[in-house]
Amino acid sequence: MITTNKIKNNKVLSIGLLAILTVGLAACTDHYDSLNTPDNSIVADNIDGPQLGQTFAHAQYFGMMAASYFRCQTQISNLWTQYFSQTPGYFESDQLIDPGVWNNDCWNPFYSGPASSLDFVENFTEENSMTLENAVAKVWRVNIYHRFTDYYGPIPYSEYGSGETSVAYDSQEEIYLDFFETLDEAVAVFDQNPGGSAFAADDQIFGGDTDQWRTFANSLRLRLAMRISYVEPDLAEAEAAKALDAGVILDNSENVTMTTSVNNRNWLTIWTYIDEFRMSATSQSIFTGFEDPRLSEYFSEAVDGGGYKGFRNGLPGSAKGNFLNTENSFVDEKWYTLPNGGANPPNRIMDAAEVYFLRAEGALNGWAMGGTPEELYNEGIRMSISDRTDASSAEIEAYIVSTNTPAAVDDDYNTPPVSDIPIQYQAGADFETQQEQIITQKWIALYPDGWEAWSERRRTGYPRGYAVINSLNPDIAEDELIRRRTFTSDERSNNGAAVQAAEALLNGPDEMTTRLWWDAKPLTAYPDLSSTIVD
Amino acid sequence: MTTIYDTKEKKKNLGMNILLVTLAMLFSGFIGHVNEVSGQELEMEYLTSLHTADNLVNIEFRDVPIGEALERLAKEANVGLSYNSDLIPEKSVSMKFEDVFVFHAVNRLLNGTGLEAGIAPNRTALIIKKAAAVEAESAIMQETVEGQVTDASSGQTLPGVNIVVEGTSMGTVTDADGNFSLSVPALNETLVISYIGYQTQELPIGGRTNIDIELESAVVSGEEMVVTAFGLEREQRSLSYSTQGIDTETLTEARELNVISSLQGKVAGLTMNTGASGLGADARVILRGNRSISGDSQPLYVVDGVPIRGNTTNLSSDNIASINVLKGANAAALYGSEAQNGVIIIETQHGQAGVVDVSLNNTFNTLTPVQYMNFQYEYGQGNGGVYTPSAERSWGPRMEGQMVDHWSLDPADADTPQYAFTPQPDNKSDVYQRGYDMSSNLLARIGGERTQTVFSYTYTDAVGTIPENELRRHNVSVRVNSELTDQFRLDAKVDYSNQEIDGQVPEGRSNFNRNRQIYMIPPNIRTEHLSNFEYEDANGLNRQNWYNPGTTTGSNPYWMLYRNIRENTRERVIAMTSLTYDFSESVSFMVRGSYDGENNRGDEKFYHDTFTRADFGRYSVNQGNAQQYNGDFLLSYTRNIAEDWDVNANFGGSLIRHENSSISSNTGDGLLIPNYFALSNTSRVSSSHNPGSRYETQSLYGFGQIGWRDLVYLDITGRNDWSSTLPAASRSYFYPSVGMSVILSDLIPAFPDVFSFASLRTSWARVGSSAPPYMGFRQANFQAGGNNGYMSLSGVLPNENLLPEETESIEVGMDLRMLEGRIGLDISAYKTNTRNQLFTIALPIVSGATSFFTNGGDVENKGLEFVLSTRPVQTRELNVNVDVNFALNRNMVNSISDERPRVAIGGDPYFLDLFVEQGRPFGELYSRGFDRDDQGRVIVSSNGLPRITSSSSVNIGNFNPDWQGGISSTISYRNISASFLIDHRQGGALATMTNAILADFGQLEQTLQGREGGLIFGDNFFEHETAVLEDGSPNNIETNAESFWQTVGGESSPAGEVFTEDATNTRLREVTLGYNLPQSLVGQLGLRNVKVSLVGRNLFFIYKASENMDPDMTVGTGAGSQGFQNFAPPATRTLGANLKIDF
Repeated sequence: MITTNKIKNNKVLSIGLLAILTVGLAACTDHYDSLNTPDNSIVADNIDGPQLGQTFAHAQYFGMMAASYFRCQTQISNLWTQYFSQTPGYFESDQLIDPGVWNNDCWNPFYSGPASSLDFVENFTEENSMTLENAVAKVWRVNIYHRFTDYYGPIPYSEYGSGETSVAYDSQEEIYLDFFETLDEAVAVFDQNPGGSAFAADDQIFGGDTDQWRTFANSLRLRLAMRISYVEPDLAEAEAAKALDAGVILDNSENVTMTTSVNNRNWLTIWTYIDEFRMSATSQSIFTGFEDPRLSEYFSEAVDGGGYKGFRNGLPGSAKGNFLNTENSFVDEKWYTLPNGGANPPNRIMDAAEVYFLRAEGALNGWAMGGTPEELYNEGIRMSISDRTDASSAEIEAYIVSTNTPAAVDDDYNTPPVSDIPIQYQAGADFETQQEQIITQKWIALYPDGWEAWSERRRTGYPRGYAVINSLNPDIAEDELIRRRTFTSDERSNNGAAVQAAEALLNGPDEMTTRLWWDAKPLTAYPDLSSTIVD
Repeated sequence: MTTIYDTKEKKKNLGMNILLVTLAMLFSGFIGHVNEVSGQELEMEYLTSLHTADNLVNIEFRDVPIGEALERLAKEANVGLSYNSDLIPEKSVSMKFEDVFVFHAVNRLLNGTGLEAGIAPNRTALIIKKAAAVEAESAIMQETVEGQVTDASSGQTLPGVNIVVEGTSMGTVTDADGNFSLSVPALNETLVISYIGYQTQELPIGGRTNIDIELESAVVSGEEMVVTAFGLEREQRSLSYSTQGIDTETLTEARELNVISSLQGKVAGLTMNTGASGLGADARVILRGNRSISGDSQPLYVVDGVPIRGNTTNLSSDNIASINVLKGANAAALYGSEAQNGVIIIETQHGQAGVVDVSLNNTFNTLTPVQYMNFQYEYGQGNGGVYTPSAERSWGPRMEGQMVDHWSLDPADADTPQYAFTPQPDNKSDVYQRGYDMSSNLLARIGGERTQTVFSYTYTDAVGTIPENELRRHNVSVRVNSELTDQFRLDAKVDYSNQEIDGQVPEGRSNFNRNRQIYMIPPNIRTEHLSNFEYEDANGLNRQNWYNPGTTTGSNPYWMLYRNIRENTRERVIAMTSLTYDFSESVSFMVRGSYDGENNRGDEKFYHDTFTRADFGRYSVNQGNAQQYNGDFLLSYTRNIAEDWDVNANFGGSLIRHENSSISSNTGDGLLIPNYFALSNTSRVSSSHNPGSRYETQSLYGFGQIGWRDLVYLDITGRNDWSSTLPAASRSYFYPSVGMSVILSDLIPAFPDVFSFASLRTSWARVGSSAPPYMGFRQANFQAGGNNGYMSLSGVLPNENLLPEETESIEVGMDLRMLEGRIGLDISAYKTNTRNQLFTIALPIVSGATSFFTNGGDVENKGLEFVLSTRPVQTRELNVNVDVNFALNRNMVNSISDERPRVAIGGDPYFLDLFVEQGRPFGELYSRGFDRDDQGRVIVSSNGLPRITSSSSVNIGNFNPDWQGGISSTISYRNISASFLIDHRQGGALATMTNAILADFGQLEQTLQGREGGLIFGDNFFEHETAVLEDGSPNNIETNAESFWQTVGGESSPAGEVFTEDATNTRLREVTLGYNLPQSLVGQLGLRNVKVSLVGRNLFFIYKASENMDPDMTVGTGAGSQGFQNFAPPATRTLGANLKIDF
């Protein structure tokens, strides 16, 4: 027990203590600025040289939509180009509905992530006269942005990063014209700096080798040139010639692939843990009919047996379910998740096969592409099969002259062969047949890049594919193609005026049926899918 | 009922008491006959027995020296006074006596002086002498005191009144005639007389052997004390704003695991939603409407004068002495930034001088799941009427006992390839169980003369209605109040809690939400099959047995319960020490330090074969901690400066600092050794560390009150905050409040007599509020990847020009008491405007950023509240109280920002958006709905199905209730008491995604209609809608239930319009029945009091407008989860018993 006396003796001390506490309380706010600066995170203003490469690396990996690949591609364009069909009953993108959430989940991560990183890198390298790095960033910009304009048409492009509350959209035409100019600028820099290096180890594609960036830039130019071949044939031909002249990818050793690691896995691999898609009937018809050596590299056999099996796109919810997963073929084991035995293959961005097919189609159009359509077509097949399989050159040559055609699909719908084109090039056939052969083979070669393959299907109508079994979209019939994705609801909420203005840049209303600027092939030339409509 | 005496007075008398006036005293009585004597007769009898020393005095002293006060008292009472003036200390007192015995009054004046008054043998004079030494409790009972207790105003005798000798456990209760007889050690003891509904009285025996006692009704005088800001007790009458106290008795009796949930229905203007995570779920509390666009609008919790972090989920209700709700900004102006949404003030138990007691409180409640869903059990698994064993939907054939293929993967089931397809109406309820919660509390008070200690320990053990959902909690608290010297006072405490919750339910659409998996069990699946949830495969590995193996959206619910294990622990310490130094009677200085710290840990163990999400098992650990340090001081000055004027002035300052951080780690893709849960058991550990945030607020404040003749009070407060989160230019901000209270009934002589009390109050306040930390910089993030890692920029743009947010509020109120306090009515009207709100504006993502933080907006709330308290029956045996509360709040978002007239604050990305929208009330819900023509007719497609809008463009309502109210009543009859509470919510929309998904799955009763077809929308189906075909002609196309519900329902794009209901409901919230064992029996057991109560909470709906839901439950307790629910667990009905023993 404390005695009163003791306390009294300590009274002075106690009051002193109180006074000190009081003074402590009345402390000043000098430390507030440091208190309000995070300890363990990075302030953007402090990013400089070394971290610039890491910022570019971010733009590279996520620029191809790694983080939202599933909702941006696997369940969207990979269905709409009919590589895959959708298995769960509660998702509707295979029945020609574009779920608004997924649309936001595709658009937003692009513009908030890689676009932001890349914008920072482009601005920083420009301000600091890092010309080679700047040129590489420009090529990458063309590569990632063309995919977005190919989904939506008009997109924010030139005004990106303004920090304003309204950001205008550019028309697809302007964007494409700028792509070509941007590639010009980049290639000019590469030309002046042969043997150059940029970003070194942070460049997950070429390890900093700017000569290879130059080849990629030219090949990309060829892809874009072909994309506009219906709407701007003259410009397309000129740009294609320019690309060829400057040097495009000629061999698989020049393929554009991005390395993977356990922390940055193959984009498809990341998502295969979700059992929500399987081989489509279109894939089954083409790959089995062609007896294609790539089939076993692309798909695995159905768990329930029966070999490689696919099912029609657009089954109604009531006909879908988990049983489809065991009855049909999944992707090949190399894309399985790592604990499931996946090999985490490098990501494929552009390869020699695609370049040869682009040149084949150019030649078919009558452009000077350094060969006949048939020669270039055959070379594309050689490149693809030799890159994707262990097939001997004799097997490849046998494939090239094979007259196999797509097969019928044994299902409840008496699904006929998807097409009657053979593998062997029909140099004497009409334009559409030849184009169908080229694009169908390109579609095989592009797998699993449904993003590019869907653009090409919209542009040319190939591969034919089947009418979907059921369309939930009142505006799109079962045998019609989706033409674009609509502007996102988040953009309507947050950038409404600009979206409204962008509607005027479309060829019609902001609907999935409105054709993009480059989507200009006459509808009458498209294949008729009505015979595969199921009642 | 809240009569709180100045504790300073009490600690003086040695051996004095004040037994806790708790349960023991509230409901007790003896059986007896009705006294026929009228009140008037009694009064006459009483008066004639008076002696001079018992004369009543009415006098008030303002800072008067004790000696002078004693003289004036003696003169007023015409009583002699004998004393040695050397003994009288030279200090001043301020006290007011209204009809107090002079003897009592003198002793009050002498409190703390070591002196006491005795009565001269002739009973006409008082003798002041040194106080007697403490009497041992074992003192021989030498004397007997008898008397009668009556109601001071009516003169009616009062049965069952508790009379206790102060500082001892000796006591009795009055019999049916109000008479008592009590043995006491000596005639200089003091009696404490307490009775429900009356002010507790302390009465020195003063040598008398016969004492008649009058008790004053508790509500009549307007003198109830209320705990206000900084723990200051003030008279209710002097307050210029509305507060509402809670009867803390029911907190322990009708116990809720989260003590705040007990407030539901009891406080006018308080809206509550409960989270859906099972045991230990949070509650969302809103006072007077949502007001913050980006904040959460929830009130600040202040425990023992110190703001704490977040809420009180893990406080022990046993340790709570009082709860007071300060609703508006006016009441809270002094707590500053964090208090603009109101304050809930909690005082924990503290000791009292002379009180030594121990009480034991045991509660056992059963928790019964109550399912408000109407599931169908006629049709089983399948699609289009055809059975498939792996079908998730239930659009299969009618269940008529036909044999169907078994789905089991267990090799042991291979010999039973088929089973009978019959309804299994219990298969969902079989998963749930009857739970319980059990708590034991030991509360000990050791009240010495100068030092009082309270020790409280509570152990709570609960098992939820969902298997494996368990809670264990230890609460230990110690509080010491000590008068170190005559000037120096110490108040120190430590509250420690340790809470473990297993199997907490992930809320909402999560596939791991156990309720979701349970609700989706198809109606034909048998419990005995389902509960065989695992089997051993050929490799000896444990695998999941489920009709739909590998599904991406679910799992066998039993697997989820027993093989997806979640364990959460939380440790929290709240500690506080305060020292007060009294420089003089009128000046004191308090300094205080406090700490509120919390450590959380969560473990998740997913077994091998947890489909899709953890095919190879997964283990993750999350740890977080958060701290708050608080230091403050307060200099107080109280005196009366002139005859009629009281002044109270305070000046204080505080510093509050918050810090938090977290770290989490998991095994990534899978465990190398199946079902061995260690972070190292993987090829890829993934971890992340969030350094967290820290911020600090420094404040200086002053507040004061001027009172004139106890009739008019003027309150002024001012506070300046310096916040670390705001830019230098605006980090300092000042906000004031002013208020006035006028006691009309006393001020106006001609005030109608029907009102025994009437006061009018009004106040105006402005409260500032700060920003989240780190808004001045654009941050960058770093993550693993590539060769050297990935760097990316945060999407939040910095804003270096932030301003503090402010809430301005005006309030007027009136407190009326009629019929001697038998009717009391408290009315408040208020209007608040929250301006300059700090919120994020979503930028177009294409601007290169996602959002920036800015100021703007004006959200207005105005409302009306009333609390009516009545005592319609008040007889010696039967007492009835009926209290009614009512509140309505009207909310309007006057403006947000020119650039953004609408801000999304939440919702569910697939289901609905929750907007704050300029020109509309807070919380507009938008979803998809029927596509309508210009005349509002639903357009039906050629397949007979209504067209659904493609985006969430349909306003489906607003979640705010139109009004809310509660009615409660306590009925006491002899030593039995009973009470009930009914609450009502009127209006407000509530959308349920549960129903949208279950309708699509054919699981709801409403999907039975039209299974075979024949549904014509707008005709024999959805009759209230007018439906037309696309050409404008009336719809005549048939469809069927499966097509219809799959069109409007589902997970990815449901039409929220169809699944939105009215949240109106009336619920019997609480019923208690208490019985105090007769004192004769209790005394024989050597106990002071024993009370047994039966309690029921959440019993049933008297009315409910909606189907298939409990309108209380929301997805979470965040601001963005209001207005909808998604697979909430069944409601829990609590039935239980409480036993309280006072030793």
